[in-house]
Amino acid sequence: MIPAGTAVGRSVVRPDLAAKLSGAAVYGADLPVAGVLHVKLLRSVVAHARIAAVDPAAALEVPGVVAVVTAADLVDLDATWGHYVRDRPIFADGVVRFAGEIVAAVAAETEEAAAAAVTTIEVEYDELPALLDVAAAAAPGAARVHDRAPRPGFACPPGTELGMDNAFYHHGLQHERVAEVDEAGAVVVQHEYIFPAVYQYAMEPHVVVASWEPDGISVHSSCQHPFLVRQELATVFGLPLERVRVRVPFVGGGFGSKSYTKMEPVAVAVARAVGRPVRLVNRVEDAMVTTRRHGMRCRMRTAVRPDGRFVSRQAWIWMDTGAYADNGPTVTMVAGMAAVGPYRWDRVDIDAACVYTHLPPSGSYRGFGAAHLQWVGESQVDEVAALLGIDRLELRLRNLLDRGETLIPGQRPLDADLAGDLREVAKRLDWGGALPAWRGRGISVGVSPAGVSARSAARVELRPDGRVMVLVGSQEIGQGARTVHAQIAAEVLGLGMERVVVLPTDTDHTPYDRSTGASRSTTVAGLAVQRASERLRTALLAAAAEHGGVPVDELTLRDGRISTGKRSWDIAELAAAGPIGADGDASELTGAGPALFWEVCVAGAEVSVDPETGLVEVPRVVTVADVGRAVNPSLVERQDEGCTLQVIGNAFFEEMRFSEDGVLLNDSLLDYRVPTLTDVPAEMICVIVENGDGPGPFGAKGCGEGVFGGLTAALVSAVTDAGVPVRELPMSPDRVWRWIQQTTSDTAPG
Amino acid sequence: MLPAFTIRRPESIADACDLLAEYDGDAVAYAGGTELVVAMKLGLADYPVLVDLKGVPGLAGIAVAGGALRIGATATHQQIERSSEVAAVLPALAAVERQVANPRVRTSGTIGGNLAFGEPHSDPATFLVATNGWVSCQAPGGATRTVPAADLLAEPFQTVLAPDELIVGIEVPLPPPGSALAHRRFVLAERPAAIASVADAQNRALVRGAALHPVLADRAVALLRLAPLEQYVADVPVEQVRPRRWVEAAATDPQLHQVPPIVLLLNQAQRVHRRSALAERLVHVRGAGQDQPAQPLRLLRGCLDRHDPAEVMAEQVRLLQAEFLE
Repeated sequence: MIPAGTAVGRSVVRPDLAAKLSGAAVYGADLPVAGVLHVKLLRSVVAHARIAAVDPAAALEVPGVVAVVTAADLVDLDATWGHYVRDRPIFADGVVRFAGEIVAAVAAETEEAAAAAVTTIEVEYDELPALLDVAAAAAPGAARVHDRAPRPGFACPPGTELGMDNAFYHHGLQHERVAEVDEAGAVVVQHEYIFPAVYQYAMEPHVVVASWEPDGISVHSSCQHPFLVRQELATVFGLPLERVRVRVPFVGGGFGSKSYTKMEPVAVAVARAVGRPVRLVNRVEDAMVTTRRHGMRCRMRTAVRPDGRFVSRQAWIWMDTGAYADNGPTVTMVAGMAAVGPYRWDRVDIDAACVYTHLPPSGSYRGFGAAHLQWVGESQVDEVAALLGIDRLELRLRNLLDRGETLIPGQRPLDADLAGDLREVAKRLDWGGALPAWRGRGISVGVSPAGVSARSAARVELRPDGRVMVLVGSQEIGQGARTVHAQIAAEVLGLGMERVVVLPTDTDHTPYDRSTGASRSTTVAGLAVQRASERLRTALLAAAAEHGGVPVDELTLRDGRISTGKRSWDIAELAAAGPIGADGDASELTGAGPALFWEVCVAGAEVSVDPETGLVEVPRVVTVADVGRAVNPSLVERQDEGCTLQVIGNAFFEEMRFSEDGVLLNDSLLDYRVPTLTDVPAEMICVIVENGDGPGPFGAKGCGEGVFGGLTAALVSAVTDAGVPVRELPMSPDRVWRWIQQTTSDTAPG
Repeated sequence: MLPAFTIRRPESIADACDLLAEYDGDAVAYAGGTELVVAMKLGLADYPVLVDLKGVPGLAGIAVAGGALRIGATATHQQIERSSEVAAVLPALAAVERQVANPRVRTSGTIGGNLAFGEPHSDPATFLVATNGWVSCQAPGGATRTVPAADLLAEPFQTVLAPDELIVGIEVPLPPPGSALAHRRFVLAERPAAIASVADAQNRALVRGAALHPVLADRAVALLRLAPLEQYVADVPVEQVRPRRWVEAAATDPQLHQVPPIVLLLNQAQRVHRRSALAERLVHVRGAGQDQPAQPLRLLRGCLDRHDPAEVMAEQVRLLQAEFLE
């Protein structure tokens, strides 16, 4: 524990709490917009087809309908988008590649008219065979989902190879510390694993208000990455960045579902066609086919010497990115890294492939990559431990990397004490204690690259009313970014929290921030806030010195007052003639590859399996928030608890189910079960570890996503420990029950 | 999106029936709205007129009379859950109501609305069937009738009530002294896959799966005897087990109406146990505080299987036959 400062290190209440609880917070669907038209989308009902005809005549007859917009209205544009691969038409152009793809949009004076009209548009599809299984799509000779060579999007890293096959992107990791082959006596485990497609479920689905004005595009969007949305819209609609303005109202959750661009291009396209502002509000069933988590198949092999020293790991991974790439290549890269595990291997050989299928597109979701692969690698570690008769914790501790060692060549070295984290978990799980039958404990360790980019800037201004305004482009999506940024500014400037206001993002005024994701808001954007606040502090003290004719080093700044020892005055007086501002950024953060720091994914769990029903209960979970410095300990704990609940859903019951034709079957919350309070584990222990070793402000590093890798793996480990080997998620009762029957019949005397 | 509608507020049960008759299918009874409004938002129901029963005299109240518990149609789940009368004579019903949905739904949702919606795996409806309960109804002109709870559903989401007929209340016979009731739910997916109730007096098990009529175990046996296996296996794709799809499919596919409910039950069934964990728990509850030994119960195990539904179903049919027809 590091002693708390005046603001940092304290569990201050979120400044936006009252607005959210009282309903005063204005979300995208609530924004008052004069003359706004309502948009409803017609989505494909088939997974793969040629569009033979679209007939909007009946829709145009519906009273209140202003326009029906299709690809035919965008022929003057290069109307495709995608930040990594520019592969996605705004409206299906001749071909639909997934059930749910946008075919047409209706703009009407009322939502009712738009909804009524959209059902009357007639579309004639010539159906084509659909590739729904990632392995089939990646197989040699499979038909191509896209027949044109992939075009890199504006955010595709230079030099990235994009291939023509459905497996269009590969992330390979091959390194050797010891160039040998696995020795003859090595213990080898090798299996195939399956991970389901799931839905992020932010409580507020995507909302966009867009207008096409003489001087450019104006958008209000519930998005996580407004500056990248601006860049995407400028690219697609052929405008300079300065003529695209993106503003972000209150956002009702993200979890990655609102990262990058989602509904903005189609909303802008409709606004452009009708010449009036439009509002597009996704329903859950729309959101579920807008973005989801990648389903995955994987084959992994682990070899270990009989004395327990890890030798080699190989993995072949296929990530189902659906019909369009979205952020699939990044997810695939992180998945490949997660397959390695933070261990000292002689040899590593990983191939992670991002694969097109005819399913809805997949993108970012909290903890991506680590959620997919950590459980796979860790279950092989458990299996090896069982084969060698070595305790699972002991085997991990023997092979874990130490701080400063290389995880992946060319990437930032390990920057955390993983063994210490693991011991904290073991202690709280009563590791080694006896358990009754059908109960099990699991423990897991991993890391995931976080931070991604140092491109965050901030501006901090003292206003004449004595308040300090923080302009920073991180989005408040429930995680508490605004609270943390206010705490950082308050700490540096010696102010009470009530005098610090973090403003919502307007790309015309807010300094650039790459994105709200990869656990970067505290570490990267927070560092920019810290640096800007420090410069403002310096400027205020200099101004005060001049104002009072006193040397700077005789001044102190505390509780909003500058004092010389004899007299003091409120800093508001310094800004009487106008705001005083200072800028800062995070450019000092450097590092190769995507990891500005490694987010720690360490957790443990205890489970109880009902062998009669296959139902698994989770009496206890332990998560480690290895955060360097907890700027707001309460928010850190809430992050781990929220993520725990999402992990429970993903690990035990959530699963997007598609028909044999590729149509999403459980497309509403009546049919798709998300975790509720009744699924909360009886005991949730969050261990906050503060080693001051983060690159962010006050030694902080990001959190909130690591639980997805760590706890998913710990739950698999615990269920396995209870007697049920796991090769597929979710561990739903039907599967667990079947695995128990298989295990019983496998071991039954012949 | 909720379609536009008008609310009418009748002053009596007779007025309410007359309004329903007057609008001839364009009006629907409305109380808590917890099922109806969701269906309307999903576009599965569209009524220009809602006849609001909340203030209508004669529909509220909970009382014990003549060896039965009588509950008015507009009693909310929460009122039943917290009623001292229910706690005194039928605590198992209070326990059932405590499990219904969430506090928001329990506060506004009513017992009559729950039954009238015809949700095929409603907990209260299942309990009512298992306890030989009755549903009292009234039609225009003051005509009244009582329908056994077991006969209320013609098919999932479709009761036997006429469009202008109202549920005015339910009656649950009080269990004989010295007996006990229990109700357990086995939830796998968002929609519960199986619900079991057992009534001690009759020693019967009752099981439901998604999109399934309430079927008493003995009736299930009878149904199983009636129809050939192949027909079930061929006719019911597993995805139509989903209630919404069922409603959509039923509107377009007349054959689907012909499929006996047991088919869907089988679709859900994973295995038949003479003594399943669920049964043992129920027996345990029954036996609690009593001297008589617990008897094993037959229950169907409910489970969705995503891999090879036809094959699994065929296997389940064989198991069921072995269990029930031996």
